[in-house]
Amino acid sequence: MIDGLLIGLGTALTPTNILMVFIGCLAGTFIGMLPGLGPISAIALMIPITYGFDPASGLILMAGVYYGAIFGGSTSSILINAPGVAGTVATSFDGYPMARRGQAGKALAIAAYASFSGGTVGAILLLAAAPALAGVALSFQSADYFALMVLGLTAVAAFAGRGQFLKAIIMTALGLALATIGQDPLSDITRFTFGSIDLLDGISFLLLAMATFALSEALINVLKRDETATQTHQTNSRALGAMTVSRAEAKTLAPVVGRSSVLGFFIGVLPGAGATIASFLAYGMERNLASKQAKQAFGNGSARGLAAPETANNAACTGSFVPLLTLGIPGSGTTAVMLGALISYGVQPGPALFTERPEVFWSVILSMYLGNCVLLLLNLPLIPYIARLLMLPKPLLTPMVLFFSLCGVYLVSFNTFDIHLMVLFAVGAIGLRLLGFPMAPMILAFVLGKLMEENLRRALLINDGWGFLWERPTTLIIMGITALIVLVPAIDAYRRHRAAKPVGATPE
Amino acid sequence: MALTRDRIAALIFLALSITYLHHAGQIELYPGEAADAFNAQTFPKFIGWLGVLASSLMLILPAKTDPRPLRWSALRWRPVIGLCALMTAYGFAIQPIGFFVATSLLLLAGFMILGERRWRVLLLASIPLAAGMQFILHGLLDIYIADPALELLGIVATRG
Repeated sequence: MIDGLLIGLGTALTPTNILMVFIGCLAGTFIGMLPGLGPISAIALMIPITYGFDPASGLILMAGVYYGAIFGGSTSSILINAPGVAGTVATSFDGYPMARRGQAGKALAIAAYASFSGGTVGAILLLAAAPALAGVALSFQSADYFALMVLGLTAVAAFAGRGQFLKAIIMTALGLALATIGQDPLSDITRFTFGSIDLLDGISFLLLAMATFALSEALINVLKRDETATQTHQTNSRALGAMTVSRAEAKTLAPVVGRSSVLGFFIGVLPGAGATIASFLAYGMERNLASKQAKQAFGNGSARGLAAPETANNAACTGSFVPLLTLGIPGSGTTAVMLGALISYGVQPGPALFTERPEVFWSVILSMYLGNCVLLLLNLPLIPYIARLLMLPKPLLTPMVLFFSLCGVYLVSFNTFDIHLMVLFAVGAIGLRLLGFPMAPMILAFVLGKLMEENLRRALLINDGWGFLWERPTTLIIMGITALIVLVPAIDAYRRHRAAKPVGATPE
Repeated sequence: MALTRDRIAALIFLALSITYLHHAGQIELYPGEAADAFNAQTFPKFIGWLGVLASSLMLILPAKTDPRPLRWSALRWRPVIGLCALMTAYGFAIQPIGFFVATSLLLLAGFMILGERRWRVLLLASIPLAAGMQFILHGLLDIYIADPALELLGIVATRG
């Protein structure tokens, strides 16, 4: 390991690779900040540019773009509530309310420090335990993955808010249903395409995320004419406010960052889980750990609610490289694009990479630490200037958000059908938002839908029935936690309902 | 049982879930696959039943009154409908008239719908952005986007 580490250090610290980290982080932040262009698009655009590089430099550049885009996505989540990446959706829950309250600078500073801490803790954990962690991920079976995804979706629904649980479950079902559109990957049977060739490949994540978040949010802002709020928002955005975090706040946030780093990293290691589920789980965990009074602040600009997903998504980004580099299994959509790039360089990720190409394996891991330092050094001083991009007057900003969203999706498929589908989804999302249906469970269910089906398929075929849910202890424990997440709020709601009902009152 | 907005939404979702479940049952299977522990219908049926269960519970359980009811008449529907129509038109126009012209028009009309009337701002915020994007895609990243208008003017070369 020490030998590999030294080889990696030698490769990561060459001037070319340090430059790659800088360029990647800066370009990623800039691209990630624009609604419509998330890390997947950013990395996909980088692949042709990196063809001339050696594999280590190419992968270092893409890793930098990945971190930068996640951080840039957090910035647009905080400032305009338009997350370009599923992993930063949870950031907008409390980051955006903070920005609307005039604390955009503080929210961005918390996000930067949390990202740095999450990424750094993740990189240290990765350095210390990379081979062992590969073993942990290997020990998980399809049944465990399925159970873990059920847990993730239930947790998201559970923290959707009081009285929102059923709405969130309905949105989860909607997201899963949308994920089944297209060709069944194993049997090639087409489902729910209604004869349309454009739907054969299914609906892209980017399209759905852009339509239901960026487009619908921009249109809802136009729909709700709240001049006071608009003026406040724009004034606050122009003056981001102090980008400092007080000592008392740092003290409160330190344990949150610690917990979320470890949780995020381990969730990131699991193939398929990635930054999205890590950020939602960290948010849910912090909300459940908070006192009754602190719990009420969640969703209304809680610093804890911002720090937890921000830390977890960066730690998960680091963690997601473990299955990619050691097993050849991508941990997320973004690492799946990187896997494609590695194969095109002639590098086959997997256990052989660890021994045969240690310079690629270790230099990428070490560059992650460097990348986190670069992000902090670049972003804290530069963010007020980069953020000006998002501070144009609303009549100018809204059409630009619409354009970047449409363009981001169109430039992936070059299919005008996608533009029309986006408009349709955006209109549907506006209706659902106005009726109080949360969007986050839908998008997460959509991301996990295919993986969930694949794992359910394997688990059912291996076990020849639903017995897999209780036959393995790991699966049973995960399903037990899921049941608790569902039952505890349900019993709590039932008790409150009974307590609130006056004596002798007749049922509705 | 009062028919609140939430219950109407639940009814719609119930109808959608039943329709989805019906279509899930219509998915074609290979011969002999119907008896397998898992086939292409299994997961969609699981989702359909989840939707039926959740929307039925929402319909049956006591409705929660919204402390801040939404006044639908106070919403600005006209610009939103205008922007949706504009985006739809952009989808139809981007290939026949090209990326640069379609994007410039999308931005220009979008700014106008939202109340911007200063011609200098309108032109400076739309055309340079469209040109910049076209240059990044075409000039720097070598991503070819068919642009009949610019090809006609000889600004970009025709391919294929």
